Order: sequence, then C-alpha cells, then structure tokens
Amino acid sequence: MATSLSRNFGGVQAVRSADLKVPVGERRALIGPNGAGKTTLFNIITGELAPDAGKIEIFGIDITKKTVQERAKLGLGRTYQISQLFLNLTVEENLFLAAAADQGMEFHFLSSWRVRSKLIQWAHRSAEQVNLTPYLSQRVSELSHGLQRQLEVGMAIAMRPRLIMLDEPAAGLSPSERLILAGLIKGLSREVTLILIEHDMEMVLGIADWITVLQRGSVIAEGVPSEIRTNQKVQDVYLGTIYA
Amino acid sequence: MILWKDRRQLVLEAIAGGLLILLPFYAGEYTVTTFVRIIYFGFLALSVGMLIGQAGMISLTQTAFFGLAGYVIGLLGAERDMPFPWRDLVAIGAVLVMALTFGLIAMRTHKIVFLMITLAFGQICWAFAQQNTSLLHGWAGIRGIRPPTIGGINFNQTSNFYWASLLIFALGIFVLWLLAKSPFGLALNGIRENPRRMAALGYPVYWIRVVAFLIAAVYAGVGGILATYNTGIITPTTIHLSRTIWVLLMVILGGATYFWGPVVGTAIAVWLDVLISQGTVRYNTVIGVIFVMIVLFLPEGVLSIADSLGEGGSLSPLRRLLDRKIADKR
Repeated sequence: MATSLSRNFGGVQAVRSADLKVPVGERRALIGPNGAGKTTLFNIITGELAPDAGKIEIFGIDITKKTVQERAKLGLGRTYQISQLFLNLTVEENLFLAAAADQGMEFHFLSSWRVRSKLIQWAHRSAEQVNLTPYLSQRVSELSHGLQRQLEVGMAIAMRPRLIMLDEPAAGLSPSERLILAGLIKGLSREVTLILIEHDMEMVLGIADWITVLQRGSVIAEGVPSEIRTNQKVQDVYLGTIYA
Repeated sequence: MILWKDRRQLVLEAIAGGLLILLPFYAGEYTVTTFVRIIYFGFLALSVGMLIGQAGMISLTQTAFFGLAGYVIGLLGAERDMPFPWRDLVAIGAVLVMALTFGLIAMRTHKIVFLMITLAFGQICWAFAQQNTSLLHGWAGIRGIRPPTIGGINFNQTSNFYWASLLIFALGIFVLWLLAKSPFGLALNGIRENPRRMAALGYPVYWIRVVAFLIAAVYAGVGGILATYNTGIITPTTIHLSRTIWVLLMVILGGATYFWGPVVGTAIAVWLDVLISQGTVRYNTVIGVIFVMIVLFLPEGVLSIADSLGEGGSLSPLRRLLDRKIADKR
C-alpha cells in the first residue's frame, strides 16, 4: 500500500523509507514513541502532507499525487485528533453533511434536506453504529467529550469509506469512555479497513489485528499484538519507556 | 426558523398577515410609507442577516448592491426611458455581475480580512458614486424616478406600491425560508461552523460561499429597486458607510441568528427612527443609546427574549463569531 515513503522537515527525516501494507478489512495500529513519525506517515496517507519520496496506493490505485478530496472520493475517510465537528448543528445534521459530502447536494436550493431519505438513512445508520441514536436531535456543543469522539468516528462512517484512518480516537477520554469507544470500533463492519494511531496501548492491543511499530521514521517491528507485546526491541524503545 | 409551531401561532400569523394586507384601509399614508421603508430596508437587512446568520460572513458591501440597483433604475428608467421590467432585470443583472466580481475575490478570505475587504468594496462604490459627475451626477444623484404602471395599475399610488412591495417581500421571505431548510442552507451552516472540515469532506466551500454572496446581493438589489421607486431619488448618501453600519445594527438588534431577526430589527429600527425624530432633533443620540442598551442586555437580539422564556439558551453562533473575532485581533 505505501512503499518506501520518506518525508523531511528541514534537516529532520521524519519518515525514512517506511513501508506499510495493509490487507483489506484489517485493523492496523501504528505505534511508536513521540516523534517516531506516526502522525507524519498518517498525514502522508490522508494527503495532508506530500511525501518527498515513495508511493501510496489504496485499493490498487496510485494516490500519491491526489488531493484530500480526491482520496475521500476513492473511499478514504479519517477522524481528527482534535474533534472537527459542526458544534452548533445537531448530531443528525453533522452526520447528514458527512453522508451527503459526495452527493452533489450542496447546490439544491428549494427542497428540504430532510426529504433526502436515503442520505438521512445513511446518517441514522452511522449514528446507530456509534451509539448516538438517542442524541440525533441534540446540538453537538451539548454533548460530552466522549460522545463527540464517538460522533467523530460516526462522521467517518457516514461517508461510507472503505478505509478509515483514526487519529488518536481516544484522545482525552476517560477510561470508561475509552472502553465504550474501543468496543464500538471493534464492532465496525469488516468491510472497512482501519488504520489507527493511538497512545493507549491497552486499546491498541485490544483492537488491532496487526501492529506496526515506528521509531525515528522507520518501521522496526511488525506483528500480531501478542508478538509485539513480547518483542524485546519494541519493549526497549517504546513499551519500556511507559511500563518500566 | 420555524414559520409556525402550532395552530394558535398559525392563527396569530394569519391575523398579522391580514392586518398588514389591509393596512392602507385603516392607517394613514405616512404609516403606509413607513411600512414600505421597513420592507425595502428589510430586504437589505435580510441580505446582511442571511450572510451572518447562515454563513457566518459579516459583509459591509451589501449596501453597495442596494445602491447599484437604484442607480441602474435611475440611469435606464428615469434618464433613458427603458420600460419596466427590462430596467429592473438589468438592475438585478448588474448586481449579480458586481457580486460575482467582488465575491470571487472576497471569498478567498475569512473573518476579519473578509470584513475589511468588503468594507473596501463598499467604500470604493460610494467614492465612485460621489465623484463621478458625468454619469452619476456626483452627490446630487439621480432624481425623478417613478414606479411603473402595469396593467392599468398605477404603482405611483402609495397603497398600490405598498401591496406590490408586501407581495415581493413575502415571496422573498418564503424563498429565503426554503433556502435555509435546503441542503444548500445546511452546507452554509456547516461552513459557518467549520469551513475546514467542510472542505475536508469534499464540499466546494469557495463556490458555496460565492453563491450565497450572489443570493444575498440579489436581496439587497431588490430592496434597492423598491427604495429608489419609493423615494424617487438615488444619491451616494444611500450607500454611505453610516447606512451600512445602520443596517448591521438593525440585524444585530433583531438577532442575526434568528430567521425573523433582520425583519424584526428593521421594523423596530425604522419605527424608532420615526417616533423619536418626532420628539427630539437629537434622535440619533437617543437611538444610539438604545442600541447600546440592547447590545449590552440582549446581545443576541430582541428575538432572544422569546427564546430565553422557553429555555436556558447557550451562546449564539453570532456571539461566538464576534468573540472569535476579538480573539483573532489579539
């Protein structure tokens, strides 16, 4: 999927020819200590940063040169580390805007958006998947941080992507909220491929099928959670610093 | 945003509508003329209010569109005898062309820069109108503009003109209401709340804003046409900055985030103007003090009274917008 990607910031090599191959339907986690290049790699894949070298493909299509919007049309969805929601709109309106994003609805002037039953249905189904059905008519600004994080995932689902990139979905959540969110991410359809950056090791070990460990821009280990947990190299560079 | 919630409200609105339609039968000519003023300034306020409330854009160019439509009517109608409805259509066309030109530039900017650039556009138009003597006659403007006679109905007559204006106003409000409920309206709200996320979702944020600017400009233009017919004169004073500020105040007075806010604000401001100027020559001072009081005690507009009676409200989008603006400046 991503081959020998590199990206420099000034003199710093943030990502050094990293390779990442994620099979369809997999839940992949990217982990590594701060400054390992996770976010840079993530942003290269979502299109917010251009790589200095290397190639990115999703579902067999070369997207290296494509814009964020073009990638979204090809089925790449993402969530944001800091929630990017429409705070003064309702949950339903937020989800509708995500569901209608590629439908060319924005220049329909005189009919109500509420009559778009197919899109409303998509929006409601995504609300159901992230446990937000009871909050559909509530303003997002009135929701707790935990529910807002759930909506952030729901927004990505509403766009019906084939690949969702989750950028620290549990950022700022309490332990109990983390459990809810982890359960909900685990429950997502296997038709969707997930790539996840997350600091919470318990969450990563619980969700991921396969873990890629980055250090100083390079992949230093890959494997199933149980392997990564016992990998000496990984424990030295990452887990050791936390669980020492 | 809701036109009617229940039967009682429907009845109240029907009575209000009836009273408005029958106004010329029970009120004096001066009252009817004042209502005509409320209608054409109402169009201008809707133009400003729609951009603020729906799209989060504070534009100071809208009065220029109001004036442009008036000038075209004056130039083509009064000076070159172009008949109705052609001069009116040309006026709206001119407004669209100017709005597109300004919009393509202004929509590249946001927030405080947008405010400044629309201020500059407005000032350019005012300066041009005042300094151009060959075509626009400088500060003297164009006089002797009269409304047409259509199908034997003479719209020079105050009551006829009032009914026509009222009909156009009702139509304008209805269309705006449809717009607010449409996918386009929701997309505008999304842009107001978070333009970056809208862009990331794949929405053409720039073009949605341009189209909103065009629609708002047409509302200002229609108001300008009605105003020019009513007063029979168009001068640079019409598009002076103080007028722009006054309209902005009307919108804030009524409540920019409320659908009816601009209309209510206009009605109050115009009547205040009329009533207070009868009592004192220092009416501007009195009106200024009233505005300050309202902004202090009802920062979300007069209509927020109705809201706060119903529920414990939260910060309105406009309030947050202004707060953010202040934060930007720091």
